Amino acid sequence: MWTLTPGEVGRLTFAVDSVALHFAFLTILVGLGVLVFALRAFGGAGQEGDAASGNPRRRFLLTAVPTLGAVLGAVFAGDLLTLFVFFEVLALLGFLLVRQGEGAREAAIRYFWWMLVGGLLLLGGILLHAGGSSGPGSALLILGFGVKAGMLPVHGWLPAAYSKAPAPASALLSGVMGKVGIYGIFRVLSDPSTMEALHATVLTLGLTAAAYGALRALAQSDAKRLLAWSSVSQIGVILTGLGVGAWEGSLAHVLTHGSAKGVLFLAVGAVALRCGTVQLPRLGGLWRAMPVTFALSLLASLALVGFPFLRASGGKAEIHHALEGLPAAEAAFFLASAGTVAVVLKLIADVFLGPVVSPASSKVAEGRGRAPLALGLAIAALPLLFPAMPADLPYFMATLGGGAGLHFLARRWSAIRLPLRLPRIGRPGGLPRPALPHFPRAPIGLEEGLRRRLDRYTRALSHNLALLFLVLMAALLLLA
Amino acid sequence: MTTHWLPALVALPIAGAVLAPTLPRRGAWSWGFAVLLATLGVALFLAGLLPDGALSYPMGGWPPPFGIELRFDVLSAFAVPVALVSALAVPFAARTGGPIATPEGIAVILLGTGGMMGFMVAGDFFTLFVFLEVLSLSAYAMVAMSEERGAGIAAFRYLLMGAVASIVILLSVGLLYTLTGSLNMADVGARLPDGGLPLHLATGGFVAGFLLKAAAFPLHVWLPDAHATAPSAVSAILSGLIVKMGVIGLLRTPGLEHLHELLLWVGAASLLAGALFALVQDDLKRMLAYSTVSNVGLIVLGLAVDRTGATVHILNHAVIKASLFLAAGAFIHRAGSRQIEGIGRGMPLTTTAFAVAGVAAIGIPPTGGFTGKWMITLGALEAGRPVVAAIVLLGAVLLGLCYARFLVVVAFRSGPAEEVAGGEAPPAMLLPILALAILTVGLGLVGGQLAAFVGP
Amino acid sequence: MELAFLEIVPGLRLHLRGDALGTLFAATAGVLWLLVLPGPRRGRRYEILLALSFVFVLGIAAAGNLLTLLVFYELLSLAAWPLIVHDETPEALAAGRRYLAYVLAGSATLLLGLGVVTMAAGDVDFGTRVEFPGAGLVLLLAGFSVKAALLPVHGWVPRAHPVAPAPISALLSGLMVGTGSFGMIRVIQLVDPPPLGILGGVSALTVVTAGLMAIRTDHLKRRLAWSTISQMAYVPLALSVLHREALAGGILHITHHAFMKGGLFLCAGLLVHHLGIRRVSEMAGVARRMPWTMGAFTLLSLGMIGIPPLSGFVSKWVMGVGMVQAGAWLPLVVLLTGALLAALYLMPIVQTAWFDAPEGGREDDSGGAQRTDPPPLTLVPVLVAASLTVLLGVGAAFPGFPLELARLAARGLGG
Repeated sequence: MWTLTPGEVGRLTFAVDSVALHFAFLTILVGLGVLVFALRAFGGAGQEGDAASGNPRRRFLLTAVPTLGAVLGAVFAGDLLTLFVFFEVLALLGFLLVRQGEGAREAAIRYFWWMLVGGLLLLGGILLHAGGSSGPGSALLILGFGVKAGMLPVHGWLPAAYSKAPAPASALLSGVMGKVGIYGIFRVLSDPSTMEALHATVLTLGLTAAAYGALRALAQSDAKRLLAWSSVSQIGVILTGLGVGAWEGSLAHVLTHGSAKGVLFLAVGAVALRCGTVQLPRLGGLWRAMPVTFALSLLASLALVGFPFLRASGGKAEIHHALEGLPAAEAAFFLASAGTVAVVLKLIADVFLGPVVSPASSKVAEGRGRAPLALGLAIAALPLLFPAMPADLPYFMATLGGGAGLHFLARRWSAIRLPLRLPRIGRPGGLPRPALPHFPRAPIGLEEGLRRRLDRYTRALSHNLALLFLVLMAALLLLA
Repeated sequence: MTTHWLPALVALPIAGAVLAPTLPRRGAWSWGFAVLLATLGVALFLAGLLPDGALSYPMGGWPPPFGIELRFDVLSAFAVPVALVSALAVPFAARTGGPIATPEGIAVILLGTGGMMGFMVAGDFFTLFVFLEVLSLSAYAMVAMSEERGAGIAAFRYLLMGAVASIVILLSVGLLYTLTGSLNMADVGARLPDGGLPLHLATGGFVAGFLLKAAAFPLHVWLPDAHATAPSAVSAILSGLIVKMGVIGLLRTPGLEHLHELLLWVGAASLLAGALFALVQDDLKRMLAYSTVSNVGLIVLGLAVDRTGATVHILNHAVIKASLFLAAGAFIHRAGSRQIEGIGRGMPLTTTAFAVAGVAAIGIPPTGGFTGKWMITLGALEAGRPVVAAIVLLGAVLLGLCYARFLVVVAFRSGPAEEVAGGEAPPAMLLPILALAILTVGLGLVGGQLAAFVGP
Repeated sequence: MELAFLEIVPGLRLHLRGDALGTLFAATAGVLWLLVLPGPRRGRRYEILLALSFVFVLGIAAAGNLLTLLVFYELLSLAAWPLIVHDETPEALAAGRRYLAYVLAGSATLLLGLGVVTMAAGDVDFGTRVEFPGAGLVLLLAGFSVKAALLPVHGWVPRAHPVAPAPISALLSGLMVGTGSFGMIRVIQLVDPPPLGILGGVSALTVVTAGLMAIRTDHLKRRLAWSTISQMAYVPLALSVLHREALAGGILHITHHAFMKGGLFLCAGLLVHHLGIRRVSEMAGVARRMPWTMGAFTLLSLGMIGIPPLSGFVSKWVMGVGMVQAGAWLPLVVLLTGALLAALYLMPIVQTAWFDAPEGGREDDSGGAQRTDPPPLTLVPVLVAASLTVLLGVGAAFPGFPLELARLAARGLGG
């Protein structure tokens, strides 16, 4: 029985149970996929410089393999202290992973600080547990694990890190490492000593994140950033399930999301290798050139949105069922589900469908070299075949409708150059806005002024959505 | 029978002094050295008899209250370091050269030593005064034998102030005689009236005179010049020994117990002032001289709170300060001038000895300086005077900075002396320095026994 | 095991005695001395005083009563002074003067405290419980806090470290500051301790303030010195909680910190010696030139921050558990804040050393910069320190390791 008591310092203990195996399964498959993908995605030695710094592939593998080991160590940890040890190791390795991206210095440093603060919160929580004050201890633990998972109020590192890290690293971060945080939160919430209020808080945060993340994702024009925000949203979904007590649904969705997001990040990586960009407006019509990538991305997307005829889609339905009787929660959850639909629609539509916008810019994704990429994607998609829960067809249809509507709306908005596309992340001037040449600038007239006012309004709305939802949910929960 | 050695303690150096000028220049210092070694042997022998009680020797067979009496008591045990330091100073003085190295110079050293011996074993106040004059006159002469610029003036000033002190002490002796009809110390103590102006005058006269001889602040003004300009061997004798005669005189003063408050604050002021003045000196020997003022302050302060501690510190400080002055002399001798920056680089043994003695002077355990300082501090605390205890320790901190400063000058700084330096001091200088430095540590390690020896 | 001899002042003897606390301290000293012994020869004075200092530290560790502790403590203070000013530059001499002023003032306070204690309780052997006036306790703690570098009297540390030779900085930070904490622990274990709120408050203030100072300091060794002040204030902080486990953590922290900070200073010394780099702002890309050195530096930094499973984490963990068990929340918050501050002043160094482009070079340009790692023999101490950080962290629970000794040593305290 896994308890929240920390073990003896200096002694690592390990334990295996079904939950740990569940996470390990995901880790191994997605990790393997990423490693295979990376074999091709990174250039080998002999490019420039010496062996220590000039070999991106070796560097990535040297970081990724220990990362997987540390993740396994974390999920097989037998006590809280051992888990913490691996948590901190992961923070360091995660920093190294993110740092390998181009121009990722700021994002990596930000990642590190967030992880460090998360680690300290975690340490505080564990110490409190060691001293017998489990109430505040659990709260700190959830906050600490939440940092790693990308839980809403402490997700600040996530969009930058996911979008700046190299694609395989992003797949690892989102598909595998973030799940360690989820795993920790699961252990805390499933412990009988945890207060009811914490469940409610996690539920509220999860719902808010689910809806807010989906909307933010919808506003992105950078595919990796879109996936990053989508991760915030999906983690929100999982946390919702954990908060409401739908353990099985949550764990199933962990598997679904981990695998699906891994696949999607790898797919975007493959696209980037081929086209040299991940800006959605510069992509399109790639399904013909990259059929395997397209098919697997589609599979992952369908799993994410809860496509009823896929085994992986049941988790979400389970969570939804557990929310019955909480109208506000259901409303938010519907918004989140619809948002997810819209997001994957946008991704698939912009990248793989439509007219061919950009010709191939790189040799990598063509010809003989393609096999490892496709193989990696396929391995990472394997877990999607496993969770077996009945999906909910009517609800899926409803979310599909809502999602289509949202997608349509977003399209309309983007046609009038909605600034939702490029939310500012980080410090002013920290991240340069990419110039998008194919949107011609219209002369400013009356209409333009009107649009701008609308822009401002919607931007404010989007930025304050989180707050809005938080207040709303809190009020409704109190009423209920 | 054994007590016949007691007059020998005084007679030996004085006889040696008389013979010394007749000897050739080369033989004089060996003669002086031998005489003083013999004196040291006598002193050690007598000190060894002390545990059975004080020794008394009636001169000419007349019993004490009427005849002249020599007494060897705990305070007289100071004769051992006196003989030792003087003995070691003689070859040192011979090596430095100058007038002090002549047979006459050696004779003066011997005479001074004899005077001190007599002063310490005098059993009556008049004898005490006579030997005080003998040692004082030798001291003036020793200072005057320096070739330093200003030594003459310093010696003259020393003489003037010493003469004032002598007169005051002589008057007090007379006053005491009219009051009690006796000059014998034990006898005077028994016949002392309970109070009254004449007694206070007499006590006050003794205290003032001896404080001047001991160079307690603010009566110290003669000391820095005299000690700094005297030949180094002489400085060692002056600072280590002769200044202590003032303190021993204080300890002999009848009725001193009424003046504890005065001694306490004079001592504290002296301790702090000496340390502060030492802090701003640029000349090593002058700094050492002010350090003596500070240590005398400590001893005077100790007279009020812990006599045993004060006595222990008299002994220890003699060895420490002698070692320091001799080391300073070695530096100056090697450098050929007072410009001693960096001279210590070529003289590691001397520098180490200087450092060790400096550590002892600050009062760091387990060196000799610590024992007395600790006992006096503890005495102050037990007397309910934590402020005084704090002052004692503050003085130690200030002195520590002084010694560190000069250690930097000698060993860490580069200067003209560095090129002049021709290695270690000659053995005649080095061995006394090392012996004394080792002794400072050794005395510290047996501090408990030492205190028990001189204690009541 | 006891040995008493030499009554250096009436009623007080020099007295040697072995116990868990002393053993741990002595072992720490031994290992640290072995680490600093290699390296360039620096002349007879340096070697002799280095050996003497070791003897004095052993004396401190084996002291069986307060007097003996003080004797060796003062001797160590003095023996360290020529080592600090070894380079004989004007800055070094000025720093040495300040060091002496602080240390002598501290010694004077200690002696006064010893006087009060002796007056009330006579010769006080460690391992016994005695009663003496509170003034004695205050004086002794105040005196030891000079070496322990608590806030108002920390001034010598950031001045002495940058000017001292690297091995001496390592010793100063690793052990000299530790002797102050060691003395405090000895004193507290003598009495039935009163609440030590003020000590805790001062230590907390020291942890935070020194951490902030370290962040804004550019000079590498000075930054490490501030770090020492901040980190070593944990020990009195843990002591002030008056809980056995917290104290065990504090004792453990002396040992673990000694190796980590010692290693860091040795790394800093290698940087100065081989590349002439003294400031953090000059360190961009330096890890490409000295990967082994900076690798050790990184590991030691992580240990210092308290990243598990390194040794710094273990001591902080044990302290934290004790604080929680004693219900001392403020110290716990300070403990975690200190770790965050440590990251804030150490990680930028690591980041700039590994990832920033050297001045005048491109990022990812490694062709221009030659690998100039020092010869392997010189690297050994640094690497040993780094591996000790790992070993003492991973193997903390092994019997006979510092953790067990520290727990034994803390037995005397209630809780």
